[in-house]
Amino acid sequence: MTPPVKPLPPAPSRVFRTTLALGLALTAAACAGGPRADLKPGQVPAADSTEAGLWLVMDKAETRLKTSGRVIPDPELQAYVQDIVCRLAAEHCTHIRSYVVRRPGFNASMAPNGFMSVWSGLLLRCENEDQLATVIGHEISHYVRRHSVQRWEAMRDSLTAAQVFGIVTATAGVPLGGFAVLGAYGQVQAYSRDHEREADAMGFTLMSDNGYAPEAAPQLWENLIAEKDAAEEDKPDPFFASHPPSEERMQTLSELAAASDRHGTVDNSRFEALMARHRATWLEDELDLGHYAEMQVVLDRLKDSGTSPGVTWYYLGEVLRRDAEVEDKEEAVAALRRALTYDDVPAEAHRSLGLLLHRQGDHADARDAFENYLAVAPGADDRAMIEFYIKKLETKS
Amino acid sequence: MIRFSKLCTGLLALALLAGCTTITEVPPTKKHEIGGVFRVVPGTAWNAKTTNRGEIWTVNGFGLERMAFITKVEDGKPLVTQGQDKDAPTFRADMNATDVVNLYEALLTSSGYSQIEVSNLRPHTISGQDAFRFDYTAFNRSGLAKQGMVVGLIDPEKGLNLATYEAASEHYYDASLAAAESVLASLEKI
Repeated sequence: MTPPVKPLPPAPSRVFRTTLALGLALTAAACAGGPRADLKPGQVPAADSTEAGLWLVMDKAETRLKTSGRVIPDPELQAYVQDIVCRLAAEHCTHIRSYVVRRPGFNASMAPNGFMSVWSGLLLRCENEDQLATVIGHEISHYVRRHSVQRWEAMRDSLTAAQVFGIVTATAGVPLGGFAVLGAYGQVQAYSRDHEREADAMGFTLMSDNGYAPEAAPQLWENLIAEKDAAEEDKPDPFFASHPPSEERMQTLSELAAASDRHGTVDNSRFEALMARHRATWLEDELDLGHYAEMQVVLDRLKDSGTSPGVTWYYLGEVLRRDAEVEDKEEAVAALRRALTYDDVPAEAHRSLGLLLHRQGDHADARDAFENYLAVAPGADDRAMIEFYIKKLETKS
Repeated sequence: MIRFSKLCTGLLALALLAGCTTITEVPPTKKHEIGGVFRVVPGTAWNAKTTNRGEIWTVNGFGLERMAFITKVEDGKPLVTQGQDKDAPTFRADMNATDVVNLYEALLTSSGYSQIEVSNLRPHTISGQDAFRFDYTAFNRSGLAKQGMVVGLIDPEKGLNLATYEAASEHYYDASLAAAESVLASLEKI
């Protein structure tokens, strides 16, 4: 018996084809939303504008941050970052408020109202003030170019167009609204990538025109790529990524640096003094993230620079001690022993060495290490626990 | 069409059920067993819900204060199994109290906590077995100051087991501290 033949769907009508073309054009056009004029120093948006609404939301976010306890309570550090903002932003200086927040990971953000947040994990990854200025210049560019509001409007317009397109195509018998929304989202992300490129270029000009070394900009990206490679991260889909690939950014900045006739003139002693003050705390925060491969790249760079050697070798030892994928802990022991040869070593290096030796069955040396820890840090608040470990070790010796 | 409607209704009901969490009141005076590891006297009428690793209790709301019991974490497993970073450190059977503190800090970090300060790690005993305790302060993802304490037991057969109390530093921590201390003092190993 021949199965019944299912009739083919009718060919799309001319009306449908026209609707589809118009819809796609509408969605694409919605995202094109023309760029706005740069923000003038002290300019505030009209009270009834979308931009004013965004400012209001970010004013509230800024108030929340200020009272959250996340802002690092070091006035010198906060003033230092704001000084860089002022050096780069010139007449916008008093309208941009920077906050260094204690948070691991590489990130900074700029809100349309001039509220800038810089994570401690970003400072940890900067090798000098020139690299820090690269990021701050980039964020200032987002502010001056009003990228936030442009992106918001592009998203709103694209999604509206996609919804209209969805209704029209559904009415015509072929619901394609879902594809339209995905397409709109991808277009908004492409728009965002263009903003990032623009902020990279403008940020580079700001930093290199203000006495910062042009070559610092691509170097920062090279360092981040090394971290990313160590992590073996999955690359984001290029259609949906909000930022251009790091490799592209590094390449562009390298070309800009090669073509620049500017030279770095900044003294990094203030940068280094402030980083040395906070480095151990920020490394401890990174350690808690558990991203050991990336952290090792950061530490290797610090090791090569020779800054804070006791702190650096201690955290290298800690990374190797805590990383379950590192089965042979000899390297961790060696790193901790090396750390203990420097004056700036944290007392906890003795404790970590004791824990490792204990696990390796070297009870006598483990006990010595724990006793050294208590000798160096007599007020340690885990003293009772360490004394407990020592007592247990004595019964094994 | 009717079959499709039934299917949709069934799926919706399943989704709603999956999203439901049953909260029950723990009888305050009756000894209560958790995860086949702990037996406690609740003392207060806590509201409880079960998790895949044990139970969570609260008086005023889970966002304000909570006791959490995490039981039977096996060698090679993370402290909690949902919503965690793929790189979240895991428990190893040869860990000691200091290692577990690091593990707990990593758990808090992966939950969006920051500025974690651990203090007062000290020996403790549960049913005559060596255990440990420590305290901590931190800020949660929203920037709310939190305070907590943890009692831990590493058992060769039942893995890592934790009984924790955490609350908003302002008001709530002190408000339920005595009730939480009473629960922790009553901890027995089954």
